[in-house]
Amino acid sequence: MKIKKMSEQFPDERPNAFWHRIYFAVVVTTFVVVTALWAFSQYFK
Amino acid sequence: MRSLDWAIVVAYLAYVIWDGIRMTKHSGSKEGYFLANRGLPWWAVGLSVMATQMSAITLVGTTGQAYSDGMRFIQFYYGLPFAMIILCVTVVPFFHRANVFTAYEYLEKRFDVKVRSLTSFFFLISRGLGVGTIISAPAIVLSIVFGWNLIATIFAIGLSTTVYTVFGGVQAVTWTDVKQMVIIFFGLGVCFFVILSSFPAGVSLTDGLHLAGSLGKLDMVDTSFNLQEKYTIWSGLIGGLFLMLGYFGCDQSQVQRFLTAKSVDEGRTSLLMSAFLKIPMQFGILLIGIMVFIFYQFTAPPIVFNESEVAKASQNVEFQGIQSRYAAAHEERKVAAVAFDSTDHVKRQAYADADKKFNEARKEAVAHVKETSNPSFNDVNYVFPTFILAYMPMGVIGLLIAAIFAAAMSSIAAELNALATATTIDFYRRLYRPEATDSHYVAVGRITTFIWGVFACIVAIFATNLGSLIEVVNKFGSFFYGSLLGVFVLAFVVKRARARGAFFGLLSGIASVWIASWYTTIEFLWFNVIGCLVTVFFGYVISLTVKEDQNSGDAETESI
Repeated sequence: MKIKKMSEQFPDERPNAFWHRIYFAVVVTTFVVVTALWAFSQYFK
Repeated sequence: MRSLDWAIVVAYLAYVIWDGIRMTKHSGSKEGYFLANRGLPWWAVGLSVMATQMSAITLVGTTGQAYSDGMRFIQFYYGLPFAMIILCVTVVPFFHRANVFTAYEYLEKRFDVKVRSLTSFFFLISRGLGVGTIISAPAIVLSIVFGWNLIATIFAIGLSTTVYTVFGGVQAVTWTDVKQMVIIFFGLGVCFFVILSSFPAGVSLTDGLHLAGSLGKLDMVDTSFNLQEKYTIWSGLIGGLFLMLGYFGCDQSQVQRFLTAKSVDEGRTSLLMSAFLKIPMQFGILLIGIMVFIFYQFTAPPIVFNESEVAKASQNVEFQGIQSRYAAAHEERKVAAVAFDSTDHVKRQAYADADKKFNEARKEAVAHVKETSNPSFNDVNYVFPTFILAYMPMGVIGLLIAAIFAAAMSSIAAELNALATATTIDFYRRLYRPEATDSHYVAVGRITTFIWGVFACIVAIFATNLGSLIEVVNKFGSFFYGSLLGVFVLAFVVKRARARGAFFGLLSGIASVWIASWYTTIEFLWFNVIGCLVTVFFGYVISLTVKEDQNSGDAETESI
């Protein structure tokens, strides 16, 4: 069985640009959450 | 436990088993039984991903760890969001489009059947043993705290899960996971407010957090780079990243979750749900452990939370002396806690000194138990269940026991289903009966699920006294995940990789981790990095000894 190349975009899928924005949002959210946890621990230290 | 608590636990068990078994009607075909006809919505898959990862050990062990060691453990999860992004870009679309049942099936397309069988075999070993510890964790603790029979508890958890997984397959696993997550969240939410309302008059949550914070219990970012330190931001970001990539990308119990999603987009969304929610959720669970810690500043905690050990040790005169010192130290700490003022340096120091004295008395007691009765004794897993039994009101005890059962069963069901899938698809169908009807493979899947369920219960019986159980499970994983990940890196990224290289690279990776665990003091999260890098390095070097056109696999599978 042949397997399609990963880079190929399937018509029923959201465009890559959409997912890149989501991944960026994950990175930013993680940074904000870890910073908030650090601030939380510093506040009560 | 009162009759209302028993009624809640029994009602929960009966409902989950019924709910799982009624999925049998959707599980007649091979695709239906193992992959839910690839038709599940993202939110159900996402909750199932989280439920599979959150075992009873997460509830019982993590709250206990927060009580004794603070919230440092949360750093373990800092690499998870980044792992999820990498997986969304790579394995999710790849496995979906390859139409595979197992992650290892792809490795045959890329390399050969030996690599597929070896990786699947290592998965079966590591998770077969891992699921045993997942059952034993709550069983040991609940049997001691509630006085239940250990073997009966193991079989109550293990076999009840096996029953609905046998009949309902992956559909039952996913939809019961969804309901189990609701029970867990509800139980923890109720627990939080009950503990909060149990604080003495005049002590607010903020006051309590200042107490915990002054002792460093709320530290969640440790930037020191020390390979011997278990939880730092680096071990979480780097070691945790490799562990999560291995766990979510190469472990069939997780790969099977997103393979059941309707589409690539839904599979991605289900994983990103964890990327957004996992760290805050883990914070909430650890915070409950901290709440228990705050509660015990004003109410005397047991000297050792495992009551059966206390009963044995209490006969000893030396232990009685430790108990007296412990009681006095608690009183002193309580006075210091009541007088605590976060802005007054003297009062802060008085509280820190009193806490130090208290901890010394407790350490003495734990050392005494280790010396006289149980050398591998670890008290961490008994903190939360003992607290529940002693201080939670009627009804809430039953709800929290049901939540612990739910956490255990959601993980066990997914593991059993994945073990059965790998056994049936990677070994039985591939090596023994390649051409058979769907109903035949479903029957084999049901039989292997049952066999793995019984095997897991037997392992659980022997898996007692292994230290902090949450770490035992993670350590089991860390011995294999890095190396398994290395094979997939070779498959996806290294064009020159060949079957021989992948096969011996995997063996080298696992050997290197065993050597590192025996001869160094490196903490286990780093084993994932070592295993992966050694596998990729040796896999590549050995591949160079193979002619370029040999075992190159399907050229179209090589590029990502």
